[in-house]
Amino acid sequence: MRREVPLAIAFVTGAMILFEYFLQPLWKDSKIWAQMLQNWGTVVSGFAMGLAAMNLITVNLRRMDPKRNVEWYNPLILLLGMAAMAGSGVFLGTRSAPWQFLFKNIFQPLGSAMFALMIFFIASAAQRAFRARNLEAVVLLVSGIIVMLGRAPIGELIGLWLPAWADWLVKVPSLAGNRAVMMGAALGMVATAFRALVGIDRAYLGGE
Amino acid sequence: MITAGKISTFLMFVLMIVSIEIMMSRAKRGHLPYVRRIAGIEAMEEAVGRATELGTPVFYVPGRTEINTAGAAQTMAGLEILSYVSELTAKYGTELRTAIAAPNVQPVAEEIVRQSYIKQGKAEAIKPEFVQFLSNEQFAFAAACLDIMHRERVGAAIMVGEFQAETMMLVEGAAQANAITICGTSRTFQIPFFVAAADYVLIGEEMFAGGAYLSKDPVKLGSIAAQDIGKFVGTAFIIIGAILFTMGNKTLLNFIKM
Repeated sequence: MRREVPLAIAFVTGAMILFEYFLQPLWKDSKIWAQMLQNWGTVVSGFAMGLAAMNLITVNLRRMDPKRNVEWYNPLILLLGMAAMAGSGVFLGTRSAPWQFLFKNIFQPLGSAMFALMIFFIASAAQRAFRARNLEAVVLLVSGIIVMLGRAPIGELIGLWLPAWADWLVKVPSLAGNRAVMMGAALGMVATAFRALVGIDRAYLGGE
Repeated sequence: MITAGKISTFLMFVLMIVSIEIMMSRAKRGHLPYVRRIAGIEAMEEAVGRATELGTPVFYVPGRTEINTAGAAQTMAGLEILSYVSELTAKYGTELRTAIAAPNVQPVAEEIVRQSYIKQGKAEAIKPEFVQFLSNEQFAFAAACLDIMHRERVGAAIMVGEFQAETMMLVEGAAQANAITICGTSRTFQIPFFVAAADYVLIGEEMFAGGAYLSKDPVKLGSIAAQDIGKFVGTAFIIIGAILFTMGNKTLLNFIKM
């Protein structure tokens, strides 16, 4: 029963959503039921957030032992930050001044700073990827140079052929490759979803 | 009867399901399909072995998407591979760090890792650190992953699932920590980042085939063969459609729009 009940719930839920998507004219109320099932999913996700928070607290409390971790203050800062953010949001509301202050002056700038750091990761990866070690890497290197120069203002100064070549590379070989990947991935998703729906894949039950 | 505008999609969906059923029953009767070698999947044991030799943890990310969204199939593919990787870490006694961004993936991943350790008779070795929820905020998650990879000097980093703009940070961060990197996604915008920075990449359908490939389950392998039928039909549609449209015939285009 521990396996059968979740499998039955997954099958009924999946079948209901599929029915509503394709065959709604056959049963008008299917839209209401499908919406209700999706709302239940949101509620379950809410409970999952509580479990995830418990895991975060457990792991970081273990890391706060100065004997095991010389940087024991980092998890402490994390837990204090979490308590301040969650506490001000739950008890004072997300429109309150303390929560807004934390969000606008700490949370958002930190997110922006991380995003800005990405350029260094891209530069570092490009430096390794663009080494002409074999034929594929040479093709990548040449294509990369043409597209980068062709899309920059300097490209037109070098020659009008450069933006045209860059456009061709992006719109023909690159797009064709993308579409092939998308087609394969879409079919893979259908097969994976079907296996889950009929209970062949049970990863969502915690493996088998 | 069928919702307007979804008739052709429905017919293609039914065709795909029928093909999967036929190929799975053929596989059950012993007609196993040929599945080509997938380098990224085969390198996983090598990656875990390297981390074991170095005495460092294996870092795993099953994507950043929740299990009840459009990207769920990718997350499930990532979780299937987590099952295999955690069995390997249990077998070799290697530390595992699974980073979770989606709250509803956390209990599933925990249970998968628990089952793998029980299967290998190592239930007592499970630690809370094996599966960690970090944050559901994109760059907070990326920052926490970078911290784990650098602080614990992970020997292998395996990331399979749906990723967004944090892709480059994760894979390049792992490379900078000298970890062997195996990545997979079917998001076309992120594949180039993985290709540029990772040692092995599972592109698109390869990540969905991963679970079946590793399990060697005939039924699952049968469903992979059905994907090939779908690809043949899709390619035929593209070629015939291109020829017809060039000749000014819009029959196929009108069928797709049905």
